[in-house]
Amino acid sequence: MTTRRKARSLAYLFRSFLKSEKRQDELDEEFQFHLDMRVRDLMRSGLSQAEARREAVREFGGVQQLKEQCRDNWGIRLYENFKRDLRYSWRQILKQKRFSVVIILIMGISIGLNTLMFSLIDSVYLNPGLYPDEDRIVRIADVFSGRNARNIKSWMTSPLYYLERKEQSRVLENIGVYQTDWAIVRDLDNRSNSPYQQLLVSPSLLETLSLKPFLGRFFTQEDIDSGNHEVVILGYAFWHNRYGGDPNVIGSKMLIDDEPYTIIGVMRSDFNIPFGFDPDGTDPRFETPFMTPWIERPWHKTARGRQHNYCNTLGLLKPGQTVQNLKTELQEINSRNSPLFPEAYRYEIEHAHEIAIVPLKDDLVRNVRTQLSLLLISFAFILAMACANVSSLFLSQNRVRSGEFGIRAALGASRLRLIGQILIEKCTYSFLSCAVGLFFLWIAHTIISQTNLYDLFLIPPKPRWSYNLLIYLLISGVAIGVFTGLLSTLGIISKEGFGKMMKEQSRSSTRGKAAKRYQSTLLWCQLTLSTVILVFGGFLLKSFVQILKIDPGFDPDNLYTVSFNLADSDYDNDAKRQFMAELKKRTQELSDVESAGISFFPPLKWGGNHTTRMVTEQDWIQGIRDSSICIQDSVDTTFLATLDISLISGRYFNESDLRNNARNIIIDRRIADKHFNDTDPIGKRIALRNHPSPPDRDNPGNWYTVVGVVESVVRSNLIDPSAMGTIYRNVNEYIPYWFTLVAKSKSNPTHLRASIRDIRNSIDPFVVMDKEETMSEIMNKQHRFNRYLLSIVSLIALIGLFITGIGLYGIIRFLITQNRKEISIRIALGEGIHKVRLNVVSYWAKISMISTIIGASLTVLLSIKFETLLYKVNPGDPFVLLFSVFFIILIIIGTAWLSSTSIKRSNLLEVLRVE
Amino acid sequence: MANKTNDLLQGALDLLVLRSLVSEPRHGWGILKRIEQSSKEVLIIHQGSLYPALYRLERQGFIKSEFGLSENNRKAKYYSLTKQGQAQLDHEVANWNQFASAIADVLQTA
Repeated sequence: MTTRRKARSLAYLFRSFLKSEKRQDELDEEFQFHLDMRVRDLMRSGLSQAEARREAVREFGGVQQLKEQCRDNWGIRLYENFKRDLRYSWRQILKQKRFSVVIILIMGISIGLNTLMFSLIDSVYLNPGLYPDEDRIVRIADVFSGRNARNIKSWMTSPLYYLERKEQSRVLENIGVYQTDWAIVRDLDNRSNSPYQQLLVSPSLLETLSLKPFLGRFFTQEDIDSGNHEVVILGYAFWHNRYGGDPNVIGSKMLIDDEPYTIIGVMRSDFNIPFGFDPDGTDPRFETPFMTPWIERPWHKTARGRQHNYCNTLGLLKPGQTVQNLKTELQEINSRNSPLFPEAYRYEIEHAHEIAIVPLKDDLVRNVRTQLSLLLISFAFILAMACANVSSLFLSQNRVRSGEFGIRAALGASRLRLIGQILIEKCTYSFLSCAVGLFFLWIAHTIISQTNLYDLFLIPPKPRWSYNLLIYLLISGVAIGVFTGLLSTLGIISKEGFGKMMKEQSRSSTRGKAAKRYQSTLLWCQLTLSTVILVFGGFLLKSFVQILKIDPGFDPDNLYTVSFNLADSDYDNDAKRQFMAELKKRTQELSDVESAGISFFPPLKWGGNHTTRMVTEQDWIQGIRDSSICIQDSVDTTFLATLDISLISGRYFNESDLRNNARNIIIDRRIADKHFNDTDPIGKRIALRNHPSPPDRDNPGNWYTVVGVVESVVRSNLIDPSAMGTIYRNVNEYIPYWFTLVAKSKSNPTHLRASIRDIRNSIDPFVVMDKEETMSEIMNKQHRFNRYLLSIVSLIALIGLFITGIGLYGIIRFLITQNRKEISIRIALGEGIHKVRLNVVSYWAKISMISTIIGASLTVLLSIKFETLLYKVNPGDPFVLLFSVFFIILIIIGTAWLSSTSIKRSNLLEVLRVE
Repeated sequence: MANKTNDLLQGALDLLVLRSLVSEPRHGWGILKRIEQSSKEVLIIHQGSLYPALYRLERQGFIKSEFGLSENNRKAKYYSLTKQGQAQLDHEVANWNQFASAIADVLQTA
């Protein structure tokens, strides 16, 4: 066909489409004219008008078929059929209102859930929208493995690795470094100081992430090169809290660690630098109070600078470069530089050094992959259940209408035409369901945007409305409509043909074998999937109960905790000692207080760990110089007893230790087992070092004597406790700049709040009190993640049960209607109604038992895959399995009984007449 | 005879319709009558075949249609030949003559 002819044909098609109604009228008119002319001719030959018209119509043939043939040439037959089918579908939906509402509700919920899942994945993984070039940003880390490796869990790098890569990489467009550090800031009243965990950031990181300030400017490499590095950028919340959002703050000074820093900018409220989940490191929920420049130090370019992994680095790939290219290049850079630092090189070899590079988007979901997979699978299950359910209901509907389909088939409708009509009808349901799904999605988005989901996601999802989302919703809606529609046609439009279907319909109401088989399969799938979700929900519930039962190693009941900041400049060490002693003494004198103690870093309070490095004297003598990491705390004489931390051997600190600032130390069971497994640790010595540069270990002043061994406690994370041991130092020897008072109350610990405030006011009202909370409140925070997960899976299980219940009810009612004749005959022959109902229930009880057993077995397999989400629950836990299976069987039997109440004594003759 | 005409090939029907429109525009009934008259009532076109053929030819751009008044003052749809239709007719006529001549040759030889 030439182009001109194609164009003409298209224009004709377009005209037909626009003027289809008019063309239809013209066709009618043309046929009428033809018939009238023929009637005139026949009347001239002697026939009466009636005879002539009859004869003319007979000669002309099937007018409707002829019109169809003519319309075929207009090229818009599909469109015409579509319009007709749509009108017909709408009438069907209105005719069966209750059925339609159930279908639309089930499909709407599943479409909404499915789109919500897409929306979540889009906002946390596919398109988090955090940084303009987020597709090219990668996290670079140096990972070591083996015994005593420094950073098995954390993805960090050392200053020298970073500097080498910054100078030598050609694959990277930019690379930046950042870390956190504690800093003491002089408060505005100029009397007190407050500790803050600040962010140290290289200017190149801000360029890598293309971050922009809210006010002022960010620091640049020029600031640092010109020695003007005492500049600070405030966090948005910090700026509001401390300066009341005053824009004139730019240019003013802030005392950080007693050094004046110039405020040059304010971060935006959505400022975000990604930290990985690190159980023993920085809290991912870390909100930056302020940031100062990361400065290159002379020691960074020495062996030490290569060995100490504590920096986070993010790189920006040049356009067109890949992660693999970068990995190859960094390995080459490393093999060139490593031999220059023999000690560090040996460490790399011994601990299987590996350069880990991961795209930022993957890094953001690295630790929530399991949770995302679980959500994805749960939602997929709901979708599959809804599809099986809706198909099953559609199948029932189609069976009821099989007579109608048979008649249409006999009148010449093709199989394809009928399938098309059914699909359009089902898609109409889908579109209406999409509207319900949209509403459901709106509710879910509103809930999510008002809920803090930090516990589930590293970057809290901020679902957005976008064209992509709406397109996804529509496509998924149509796909579900087509899929369920096709499934529902399987039993009806079979190869045996419509004639058979018609015969079957007229002879008896007994269902066709194929339809019965499909329907049974769909039902089984549905029941099995419900069982899987319910049983897994049971596992999570038990897991949650187990978490609530975790023994933290101390008694958390009736413990009240409150932290105090002591101004370094106003309080010298003696003043601090006096303040702590006075506070504790007066607290102990309160009538409601059993005991009170003081600690620098009490368990679970700060969400992280304060660590140091240690080496035993015995190891030192044997030439072992490699120190190991441990948690350190400084406590007074009564703290360990107040928490009821058991003493294994030796003693707690006493007043003499405090008075003499004795260099005595208490260790926990983990350190005792690891370093003194065959000997009694009491009286042995340990050296500590807090700085990368160790003090002279031969100096006896560096050594601490072990005076007691206590039971290990959970320090920062209840569910994933650190394997590190803890050492307790004497609070008067290692004086913290803030501390926590822990008081054991005889009754409700919150009653102590006012009394302790009064005590503080009477000693020094300017000392800042912070984090006033009971230990139970602290522990509840730790359960939040599991509570979220449990809530989500429970919600999904409930939706699943709801869908199954409705579907099952509809199907059983349908089957009872279908078998009305048989049931009526049995009742007429003397069988009691209750017996018939019992038969229905026992049939479904059998079905439910088989499907729940299959479902339970599948869940066991699934739970093995998701074992990490379960806490001390065996995937084959018989109690959970039996309880869940029993519960679902109960639901199914209940639904069957409810449905069977529709069986009533009816007039047999009437039924047979209707049949 | 009627049986024979019912077996008319689609190409032959198109040819006859196009030829009937050479002299003047006609409506469907007129085309039918014209073919019957021209063939001395040997070729009787089934009414059910005519209209789909007319719509097909119109879609192909060989004929065009417009409403006008018939001889008894009734509104009727008139079909007329387009330039492309005229060219197609010439082509079809040539083909037909070639085909008929070939058949005649075979019959004479046999």
